[in-house]
Parts: sequence; C-alpha cells; structure tokens
Amino acid sequence: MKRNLYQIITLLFPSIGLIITISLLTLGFSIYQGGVKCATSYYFSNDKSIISISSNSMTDWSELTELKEKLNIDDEIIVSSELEVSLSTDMEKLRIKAIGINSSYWNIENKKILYGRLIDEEDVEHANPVMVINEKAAIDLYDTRDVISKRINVDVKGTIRSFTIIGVVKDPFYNKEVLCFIPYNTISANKWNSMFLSIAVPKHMKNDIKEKAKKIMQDKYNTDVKEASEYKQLLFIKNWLDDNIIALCLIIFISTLVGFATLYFGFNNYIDNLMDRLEILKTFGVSVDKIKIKLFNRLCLFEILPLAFSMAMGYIAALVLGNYIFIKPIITFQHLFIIFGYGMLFIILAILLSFNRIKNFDID
Amino acid sequence: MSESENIVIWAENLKIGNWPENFIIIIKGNEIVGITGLNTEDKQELLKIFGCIKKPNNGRYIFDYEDTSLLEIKRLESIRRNKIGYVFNSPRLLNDLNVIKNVTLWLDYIYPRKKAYEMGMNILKEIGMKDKRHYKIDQLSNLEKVLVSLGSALINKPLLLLVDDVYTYLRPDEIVEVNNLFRKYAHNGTTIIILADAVNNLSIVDRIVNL
Repeated sequence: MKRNLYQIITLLFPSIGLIITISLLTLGFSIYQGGVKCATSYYFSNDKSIISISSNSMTDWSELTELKEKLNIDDEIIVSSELEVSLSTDMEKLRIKAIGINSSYWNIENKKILYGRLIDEEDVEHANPVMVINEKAAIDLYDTRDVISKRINVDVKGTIRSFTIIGVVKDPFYNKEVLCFIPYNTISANKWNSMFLSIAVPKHMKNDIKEKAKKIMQDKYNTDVKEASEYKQLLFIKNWLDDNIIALCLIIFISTLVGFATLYFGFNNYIDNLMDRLEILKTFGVSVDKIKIKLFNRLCLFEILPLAFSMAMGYIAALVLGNYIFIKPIITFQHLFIIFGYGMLFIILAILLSFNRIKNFDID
Repeated sequence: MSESENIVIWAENLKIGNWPENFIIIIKGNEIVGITGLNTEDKQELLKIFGCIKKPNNGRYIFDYEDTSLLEIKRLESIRRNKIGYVFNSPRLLNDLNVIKNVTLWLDYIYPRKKAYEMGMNILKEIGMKDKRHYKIDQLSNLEKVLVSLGSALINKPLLLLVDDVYTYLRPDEIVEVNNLFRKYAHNGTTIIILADAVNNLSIVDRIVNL
C-alpha cells in the first residue's frame, strides 16, 4: 500500500510542469475562442460579416441615409462615434468620453446591465435625450451605481443639453475609462470627433459592398474601409498579447521544458522502483518489447489523469478570467485535440526516453 | 522411447568453476540432479547458461535438442517462458503484491489475466497455498515464501526447474516438505537441477555432479 502510494506520488509530482502547460494552453484557447465567438456571435448566427468605415467628415446625418441608399442595402448600419464632453450634476462636473450609438451597437459591444435598460431603436428614432453610463461614471458622479432617472447636463462644445440616465452598465476589470452612451443623433454629425460606421452585410455580399463602400468613401470623404473582426474585449486580449506574447510564450516554453524534464526523471524513478519486477519478468522470458508496451500503456493511461485535470483546471481559470472580461470561454473539439495531442506528445517522448533504462539493464 | 530421445540437457566444456577438460553433463527427463562445488559467481553463471538467460562463452549447451549458442534472443526468451522455471536462493518476491499476484506476475504478460489467474489458483492448490492467496509476502514464513517462489516457477509446467539452494533458511521438516514437492513434479515430467553448497540436503537427488 505504502509502496503503491509512493509510486503514485512519484508519478504525479513530476506532472506539475505538464499541468501548468496544459492549463495555460486550455485557458488561452478557450478565452480566445470564447472572445471570437462573443464578438461575432450575433452576426455569425445570422451569417453576416461586418465592414467598418472610419468617417470623420460626415456633416449631416442625412448623409448616413444617403450612404445606405448608395450601397443599396437593407441591412443595418451600426454607429459608434466618439466625443469628449463635460457632464455636470448638482454636485459634480466630469470630463467624459461620450459614445454616440444606435441600438445595433450592443450587438458588437457586449455589455452587462447593472440597472435600467440599454438605448433602443425608439430612442434613436426619436433622438431621445437619454443616456447609459458605466459604473465608474456613476460612482464618480453620484457615489452610487443606482442612478436611474437622474437628469444630467451635457456640455458639447459649449452647447448644454439635459439627458436622463436610463441605464448603468458594468465595467470589465480592464476598463479605466468613464463612459457614457447616447443616441448618436442627439448631437449633430459634425460635432463628433471620430465616427465609425459598421455595416452588417450578408457574407456572400461582403466583397461587393466593401468595394462599393470603398469607392464612395474615398470619393467623398477620402477614408478607407476594413472588415471588423474585433470588439473591445478582443481588442483588450489583442493588446495584452501584443505586450506580453513573448513572456507568455516563454512561460509555456519553460513550463513545457520543466514538465518534460520532471516527467522524464519521474518515469526514470518509477522504472528504477520497478527494476526488481522487471528482472523477474525478464528471467521468466517475458520479452522486453512486451514489458515496454505494457509499461507504456500503463504510464500513458496514468498520465491521462493529470492531463484531463489540467485541461479542466485551465477551463475553470478561463471561466474566472472570462467573468472579469465578459467573455464566456469556449473550447472546441479541435482545440481540445491540439492541447491533448501536445500534452500526450511530451508524455510519450518522456516515456520513450526513460525506456533506455529497460533496454540497458541486465539480469543478475 | 529410446534413452537418447529423453535427453533434456547436454553441456560440454562450459569452463565454469573447475569444469574438467572434455567434461560433458547429460541430464535426462524426470531426473533430479544436484550440482555442488561452485562458488556464488560460478553458480550464477551456470544458472544463466542452463536457464537460457545467456549463451555460453565457451563450449556448448544444448537444451531440449536446441544449441543455445546458435539461438536468437527471442528464441531464448521463448524457451525460458515455456520450458524453464527458476527458484532462487532468496525467493524473488515482491512485498507489495499478494501471493496470487506474485505467482502470476510474469504470466500476466503472456496470457489474458483471467487465464493467468486460473493457472495461479491451480498451482497454489497443488502446493497447498490456496488459502493464503491474498496474504502479503511479509506475512509468510520462510517455507511459504519458498513455496510461492516454486509456484511461480512451476505455474507453466516447465520441462526444467532450476533451483538455487533454497534450503538455507528452511528447517529440516520444511526441507522434507520441499523435497517431496520436487519428487512429485519430477514424477510428472519436470527435470530438476538443484544447485547446492553442501550435499547434506541432497538426499532427494538421483545423482550429484561436483564441479
């Protein structure tokens, strides 16, 4: 019993490197896949692509209708324009980034509502002076998150308008900005600092519409178009990866090396403990190949445990991290296969290398 | 069946210990032969050659009409698996396994587990250890350890049983019990070679070869 326990520990302990590597890979793959799926899920399920247009030269909102007519599309245009404004209450005054949107904006920006509701089609249609703010803005302005129905003055380049707060959205942990969302058409087009128009088009029409939009935008506003594939959460991951990719690769590489080395020495130790058994088997004429095959199967089966455990750990870590960045992690069969294959590859290599001991030992 | 057809071992000029020039050992089926006069190292060497664990460096060793110096390793392994059983001076048993698992240890690699278990149960019944099949090795007496070791060696009904002096740790009454078992298996067709330091306990053997 003690010997069995000792053997299990000597096999499990060296798996720590394997557990770290596989957990990291599972975490990375599932967050990435979850992010991509989140970012495009609405349009993906409707078999649509998103084309993004950056336009700062639109002077009137009627041009938006005009653009839609020229592109000859029935599909929606997602508006996202930005401007620095001042918000003032009886107590506080705050410089804040205002984002002018229409209701489709929520399809590409995944937000969790804390209180109230989001801006809807009707708000945009009637250019209602309503506002959704993030929790940081709510706390900075009112010291509380529940600020529904409060009225607030917005100073847009000297023009002051009154808005009603209809919703408060939760911030992902990485967000340090104070934000407010208002219907885009409550402020005239020429006052926005930057403007992004995203057009959701059926996938098969993507290239045609892109070419058409490119021509219109270049002729009229001298701007380009691109296909959008990201939203803020993914941008955050992308930025984080840009900054940390080398460190991340290094961690995975080092943990792979450590995992491989510890597994190799663990297997060696395990085989050393089996030497008396192997000697008996060899004496009685059991072929070395047969011993190796059985030992190989046993070790592989045994190591599947920490492999499965580390994949589960990685996914749990992804769930925890995803909760903070509003991404529901997803792991596909292909990714599972890749991660499992990677883990099995270095398990098999470590086993095969440690088999040199069996080959070389002699019967006393 | 003529006498020459019943030869199990033919060994000549093996140069082990004081092996005389042109000396030939011929051992026939069902014989119990004692070999004495060898030091530990030479005894090990003889066990390895007679047990087909290694090929002889000098001379010839023919086992069951096969010249082992001409055989491939795989064939030697096959001979060991199917025709030879070994009982070592200090029984080679694994303390973390129980009696039945020790007996069937190597058979698990040859046969399906169920068949190996059945064979293990049969041999334990034959050597009178069936009731103690679940005992751990450290719960057994010296005699029982020797019996388990014998069970492991005899489980496959070998043609040759090689016994390295097992009498060292046994009491006289226990030696009689073990010798009776040897007699029984020799009667059933197993050739037995007992390597011993002294001739005292070799009353059972048909003849003694002193090297």
